[in-house]
Amino acid sequence: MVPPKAPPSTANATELASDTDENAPQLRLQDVGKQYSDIWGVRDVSLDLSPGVLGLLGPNGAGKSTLMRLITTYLTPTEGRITFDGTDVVDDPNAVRKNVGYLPQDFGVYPDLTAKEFLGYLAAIRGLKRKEARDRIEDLLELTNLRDARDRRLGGFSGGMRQRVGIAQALLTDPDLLVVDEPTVGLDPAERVRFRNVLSSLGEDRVVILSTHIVSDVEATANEVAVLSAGRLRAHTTPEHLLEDVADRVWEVVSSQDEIHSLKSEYLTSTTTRRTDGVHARIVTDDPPRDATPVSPTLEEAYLDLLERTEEGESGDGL
Amino acid sequence: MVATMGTFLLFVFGFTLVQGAVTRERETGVGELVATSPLSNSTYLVGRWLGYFLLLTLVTVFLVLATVAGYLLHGTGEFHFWALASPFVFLTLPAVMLVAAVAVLTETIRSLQGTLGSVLYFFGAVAVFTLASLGSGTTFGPTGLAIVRNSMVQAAGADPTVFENRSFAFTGDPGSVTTFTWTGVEWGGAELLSRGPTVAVAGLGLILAVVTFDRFEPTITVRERVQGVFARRDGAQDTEETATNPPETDTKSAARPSEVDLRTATPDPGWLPNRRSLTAEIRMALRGQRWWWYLGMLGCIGAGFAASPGAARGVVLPVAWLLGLSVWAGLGVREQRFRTTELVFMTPYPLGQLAAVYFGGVIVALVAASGVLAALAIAGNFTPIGAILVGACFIPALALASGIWLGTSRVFEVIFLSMWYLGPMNAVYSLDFVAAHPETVAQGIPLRIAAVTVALLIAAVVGRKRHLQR
Repeated sequence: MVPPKAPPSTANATELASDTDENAPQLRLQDVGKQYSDIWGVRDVSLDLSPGVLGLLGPNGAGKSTLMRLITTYLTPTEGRITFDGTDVVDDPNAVRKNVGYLPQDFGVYPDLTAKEFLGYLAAIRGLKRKEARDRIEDLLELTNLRDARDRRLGGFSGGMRQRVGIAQALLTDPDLLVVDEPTVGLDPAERVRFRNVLSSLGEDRVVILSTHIVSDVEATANEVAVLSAGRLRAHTTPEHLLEDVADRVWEVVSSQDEIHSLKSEYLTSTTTRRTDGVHARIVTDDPPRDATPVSPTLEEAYLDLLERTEEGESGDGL
Repeated sequence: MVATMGTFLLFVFGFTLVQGAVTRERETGVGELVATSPLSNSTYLVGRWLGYFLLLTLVTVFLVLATVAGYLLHGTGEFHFWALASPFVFLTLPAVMLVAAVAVLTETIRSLQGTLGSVLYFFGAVAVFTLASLGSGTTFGPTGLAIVRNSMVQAAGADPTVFENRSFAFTGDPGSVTTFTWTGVEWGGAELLSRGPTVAVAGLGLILAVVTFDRFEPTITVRERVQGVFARRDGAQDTEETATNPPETDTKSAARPSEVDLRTATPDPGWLPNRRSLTAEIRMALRGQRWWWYLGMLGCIGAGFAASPGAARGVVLPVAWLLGLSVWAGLGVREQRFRTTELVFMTPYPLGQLAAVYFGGVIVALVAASGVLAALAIAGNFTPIGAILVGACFIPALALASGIWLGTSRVFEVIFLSMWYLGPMNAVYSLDFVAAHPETVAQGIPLRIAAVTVALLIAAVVGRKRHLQR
């Protein structure tokens, strides 16, 4: 049995520093933690973010949404410090609120309002002037492909259309910090690709934090990746760095239907695909079966490998 | 007497206590799961009715226990548990059966799911109770007050020490009245049969609910449901098309993101509400009101200006503010109800937004009262103007505080309706927030209401801050 490798260390600061412009927005989290009763939602999270897209990955209940709510000031940290452009967001939450666009994972809309009216209402309470709001809303309806539906009531919108309204409202105030939680849930493939492109271009001059379970979204948009598990930051690195860590450890194996279960129990299996010659399985291991062929790793495989090693490390600590 | 009072209270206010589960399932999407399950409409609605009925039964059990405890502490004579508990069994339980059935019925009729349903129920229940209390022959009334009264009258008549002229009243001076021995209601066939109509009406209500229930299908009207016609309305067809086959997802017609040149925006929020945010909140509050609401409001404004000062204050203004109830009921709870808290409270000055909501509510009250205020101003009668202004500030403050702290508009609706019924309508001056009676102003009640308003506003701010600083 090959001992598990340690999770990858955080990439060095110069590797992650994507922009040294003094005027560029900067978000810093120092040892941030949030406690709910006797459970820590997140703990000891430290991040330094400058313009770019950070892909935030983690399993269900890892603390991603809690971290996003802390960053957007919806929650107050139990410990640690969050600063945006040098201002402590607990002392002055408006430092962030004036500059943040937030798409929560689970949000509602007013079903009696049209998309345009809903965005108009949010623009008004967020301080946009009438003409500015009108122009911005027109642009955002165009951007989110909702122009034809702008005068329809939100109550009749499909899940994907509602999600696009959520994306539009997050961009209403032209924010320097954009925090989006599971933004592509419910979007059809074309809209998903479209939104990824939007995120990529937005990340050129602002801090974008993208939380998702869909690793391919991160792969397509993020220049940095942070992995949370059990409320703790397991890695903050670049996608390339994460991929390097599984280089030469991803294999494809063709097996029969009968063998696939034992293969899955023995190896970390990322995908299985049924073909005429058998089931093609992609596994991540240092010690592959004899007939395995090496393949190029994906970010998803790197992420799964990291999670497994983290779990093994923790169970090892526990022993 | 506790049973009689308890039955009355549960009959009038029990509706507010239980109603809302079906509506909540409609709003949270749980209804879709119910609609796509094999559960039949009747099973689902009877289950809901049973839930409401059991909750009200639980309250009744507590009332029985309180009655027993009260008797053990202060009662005289021999203790008979059945004599104390039987009125709850035979009077309260049939009454709450009816309440639960009406609650389910109103939830299956879209227009009655909100404030309108609460208002109609409140006044309907009070009217039915009043009518059923008028004569000794109306023993079939839903609360069975006549049964208890007849039994007591019979007992009093059999007691030679009791005076000839008798009446029932609550008094703070027990020495001023004579006493007589009453061993409780003798439950015979006539008394038990008198509960039949109430139980039957409850059953009819449930059957009607099953007929009118749309099974969470938003595009079917009650009429279509009743007629068994499942054709979609023209407007609904658009909605259906949008939801299932949205044409705008066609990428061929969509501009590429790079082709959309987003114009920059520089928000300039202030901590005080400005005209734009106020307008936005008023429009939001008025959203969903029907044409007849605006017509009624216009009528009240006109009538307030044209009527005599007494009628304007005593009738027109209370009616105008009763119309406004559906607007104020949404204050403080809208964000929780529609799950928009994370979108709305992320504004740079969330307390400024709260202030905009409040002032929006005050403006609605002032507009509703504008006819009366104008007439009073022209007549140079400025004292009641001040009292009405206090009332206009009080109502949205009450709505906001109760909505923010309790997360439901029901409590506000019940408090408002009770105050409205007792204060302006029945001259309980201390509750006359409308200043409908000259005595209200003369007794300085508006000053007390102003103090309560300040306390409510502080409570609203504290509640919102508590929500923001989690």
